[in-house]
Amino acid sequence: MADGRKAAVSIDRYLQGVSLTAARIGEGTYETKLYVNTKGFTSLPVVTMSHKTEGYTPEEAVQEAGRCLNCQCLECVKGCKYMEHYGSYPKNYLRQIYNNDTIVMGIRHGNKMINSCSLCGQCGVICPQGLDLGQACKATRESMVTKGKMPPSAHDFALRDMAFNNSEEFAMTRHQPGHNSSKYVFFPGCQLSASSPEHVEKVYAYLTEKLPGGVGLMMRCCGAPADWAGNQDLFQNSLKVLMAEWERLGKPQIIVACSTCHSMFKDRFPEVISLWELMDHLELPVRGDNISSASTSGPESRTAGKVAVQDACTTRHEPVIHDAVRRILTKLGYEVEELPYNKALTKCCGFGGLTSFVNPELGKEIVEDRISESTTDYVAYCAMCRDNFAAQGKRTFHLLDLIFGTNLEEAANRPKVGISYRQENRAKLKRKLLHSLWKEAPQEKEGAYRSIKLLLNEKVEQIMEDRLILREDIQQVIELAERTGIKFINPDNGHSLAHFRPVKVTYWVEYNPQEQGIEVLNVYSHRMEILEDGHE
Amino acid sequence: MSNTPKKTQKNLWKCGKCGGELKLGVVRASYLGNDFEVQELKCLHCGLVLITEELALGKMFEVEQSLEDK
Repeated sequence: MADGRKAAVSIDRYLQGVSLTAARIGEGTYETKLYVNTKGFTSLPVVTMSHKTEGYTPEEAVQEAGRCLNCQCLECVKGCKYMEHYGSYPKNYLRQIYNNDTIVMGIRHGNKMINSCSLCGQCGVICPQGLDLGQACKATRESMVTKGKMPPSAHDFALRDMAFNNSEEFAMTRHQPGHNSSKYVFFPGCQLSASSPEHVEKVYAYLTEKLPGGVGLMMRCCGAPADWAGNQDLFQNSLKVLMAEWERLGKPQIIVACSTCHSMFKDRFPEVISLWELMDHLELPVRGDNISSASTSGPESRTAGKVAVQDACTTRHEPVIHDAVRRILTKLGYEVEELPYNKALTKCCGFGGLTSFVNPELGKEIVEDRISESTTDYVAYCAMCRDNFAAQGKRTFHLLDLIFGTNLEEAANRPKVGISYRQENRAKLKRKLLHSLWKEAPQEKEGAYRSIKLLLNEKVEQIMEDRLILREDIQQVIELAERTGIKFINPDNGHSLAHFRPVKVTYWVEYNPQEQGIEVLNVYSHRMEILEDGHE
Repeated sequence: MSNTPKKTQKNLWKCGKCGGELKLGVVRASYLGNDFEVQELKCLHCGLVLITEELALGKMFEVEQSLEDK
């Protein structure tokens, strides 16, 4: 067949009057770099011709052709919802990315695709050639930022959240109370502090009890959102402040509870250790509940303690962490179930690379795919994995739920903490710790709007979540409207509609003052600016 | 921003600042250095502009997105 094809090309070239010899590479059989997984296929013998001189009969030919596997190199696509979502494969994606980055005039159709990858590196591990599409996406995001071509709305919320986490609201660095030096520093990360601040308190108490030499505490953002957004200036500046704080503590060993923080720090700080590796070596804390609350498929079919492990994608190349997590679970008495894609092959929960901010629909598909892999309760050691799975109804523990072991049934069903409450939880955690451990008076927060009590029903809270609108944004709109009278009134029901543009987004709130507070009926926003006098 | 906007009736509102009626009028808007003139609801008396949910999450969002990809 290869000879026939070679001859056909020669004939075609001859008839076209072009060179018969130029650029004739890759003809005939050669070893390809592409990979086909033949697992699950059984080898079939060549179909024998019934009349050798006459060739195959039509039936025999069909039978012989049926042996063809229709080879396609798609192992990475099979493992990744993002690649499947865009309906193609890396070679095409790379071309689209290149075209998008080099276009001079016209619409950059690939922006959303480039910003939707979770940069998790799974494709690079699956591919026998090590092709990591995330690396291309990340480099291109950096190029887009440098050229001023990054869509402003893509990562705006995540970067503002990062700014909050590096502000006085949450950021703090202290030696352990009663110490003036630190051998260690605990870095809980912003998402664990947002999702379950009580765990941060418990872990810090545990570490200060178990470790001699002083365990400092550093709360702020590791900079990952800026790195993922391709904003290297912001990332490096954030890192510089963090590094200075760490030096101020005397360069202690950093203990991280978040796998993303671990991935950001491991090549930049010496001897960074994951909380799981450390806890695996220390005596585990005494638990407040028994282990029988994990179930295989709901309350009615309960078995004793089996959990399926969701490895955080940022631990992909950290077998030490994978093993430590499993050893902790075994020590706690759990049977460990391995998901089809685990450890180095694990799947992202949709938070990595800021996917769920840029492409919420894809974020949901990613979670749906992952949580459908097993009916067993999941255990995650990343607060975002836990929250994202819980948000779509999957019973998921955080590893710390099992380690401290209180109210396991409640922990498995705990809903995701929404965006407003995440910031509130972080701020409260800082105030509580400063007060209870360091005996420092909490700083009073500025802004009259903070005292406005909002009445929010579930529907409005979901709208706020989907549209990335914070309670604080709503409070500011209402405060301004009530102070200045700049608003609209519906004469039929007395509702007010007002707007406020703090920086780059205009927020609109429909509300109705009640005795107990302000009932919020609807919220929405836009980025476009209205230039009329008396409007903004 | 991608979710479907709640359907609301138009012209439900009066200006809360001066009590004026709202009518469609020319409004200047800007995004990423691009300026437009569009017909929107505004107070005839004081010029306060109302951007409805349908507009913010519909046409306005589409224009914002296409300008961001330019």
